[in-house]
Amino acid sequence: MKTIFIIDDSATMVMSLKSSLEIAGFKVETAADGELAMAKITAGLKPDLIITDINMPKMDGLELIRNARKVLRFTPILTLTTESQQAKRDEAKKLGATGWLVKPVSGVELVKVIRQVLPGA
Amino acid sequence: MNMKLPRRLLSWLGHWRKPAPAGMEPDCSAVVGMRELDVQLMRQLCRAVGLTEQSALDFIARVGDLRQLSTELICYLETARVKSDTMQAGIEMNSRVIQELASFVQTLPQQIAQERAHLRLLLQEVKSLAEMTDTIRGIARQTEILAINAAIEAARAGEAGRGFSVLAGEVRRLANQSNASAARIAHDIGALVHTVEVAHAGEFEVRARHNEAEAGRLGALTLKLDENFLDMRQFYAMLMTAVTQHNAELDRGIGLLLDTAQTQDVFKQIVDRVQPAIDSRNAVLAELIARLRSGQLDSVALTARAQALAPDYLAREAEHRDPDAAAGAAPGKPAPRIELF
Repeated sequence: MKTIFIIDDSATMVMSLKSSLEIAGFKVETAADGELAMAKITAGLKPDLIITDINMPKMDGLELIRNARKVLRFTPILTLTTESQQAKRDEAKKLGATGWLVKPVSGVELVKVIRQVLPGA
Repeated sequence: MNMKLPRRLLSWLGHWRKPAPAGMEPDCSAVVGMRELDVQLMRQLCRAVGLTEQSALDFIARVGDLRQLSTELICYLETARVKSDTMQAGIEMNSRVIQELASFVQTLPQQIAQERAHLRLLLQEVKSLAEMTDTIRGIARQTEILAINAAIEAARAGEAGRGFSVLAGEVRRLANQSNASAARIAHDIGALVHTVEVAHAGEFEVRARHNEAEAGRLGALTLKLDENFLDMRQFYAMLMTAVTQHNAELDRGIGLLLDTAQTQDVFKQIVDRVQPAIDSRNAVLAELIARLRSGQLDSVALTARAQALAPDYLAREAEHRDPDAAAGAAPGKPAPRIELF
């Protein structure tokens, strides 16, 4: 079973995504901000895919991508945010993000994207 | 319920809820009153966000319960499917047995009829045997007459016919014995035919006809039973299909409800972004109040800042435009909702 790591400071977002992904057969880990996410990654969590919000307290999504890439070089990282401007997309791409998704995203669409970037999922 | 106000807002409230200094000009008091309204509006908005967040969490938890029920139903269906397969195999075997039984039972009336025909044929043959004993008795009578005649002729011949007379006596005795045996056989066959005819014509015939009818009825019943098995199998398969389809729709519905809950986060972020806009507006107001207090009337730069407040806010909001809503609403091609690098 593939593990998806969701990082978002919105409890509703986390619960909604978690339920949708669990229905689709994924194991889900969560964190409320970038700092907590990095703590889990440093402690040894090796997810198959990361989905992160951009605007979060303590450590935002872009900073998280920058730090996570040092440890998880090949893990796909998707951003899921309300932000849609190109400049931030370009920055995320430069830092090593795999894709950019604008909220809200339906569970069906999200699972489709996950299966695209995670063959065999 | 988390009803905590953002730290920035609390600090702002602490600063601006101080009472206006004694002797402040009426215009300043009016502006302070407007700020107080802002504070209350933001507080209410934050409360609304808290309420929607709590509702969304409750909603997701309830949908989660539904999802749990749906999962349990899927597990039950899987168990039912396995049992159904076993039952199906049993039913198919039973059906084969019933079909064999039905075809056997269906042949029974014909078999019984054939047995009856064979019995009648046997009776005819036995009767023809009885007719043969009449022939034997006729021959025996003629042989006796022949022996009597031979004895008469032997007596006429005197001494020369003595030996022939003994032979004629033996022939006559043999003819008598043949006649007696034939009479006994005829009697026995007659008794047998009588016994068979009485039995065949009576209880045996009734029982045979009854068995024939029962066999026909059982044949029809076994065929009906097989049809019922088939109906039951089709109904069960249809039921399984309907329940599985219904559950898949329920699962899809739950997925859509979960998607809807994401809107709460979008709503929360829209409200969160109002705060910096109000902060900027309040900074302009603060400077305006300071100028009013100090009597500085030159406010061209301040007016320009005030006029830029709304465009700045809208520009920042544009960074969070929904790509679907932006399509056609703004010039240029909107960035896609989903982009893989």
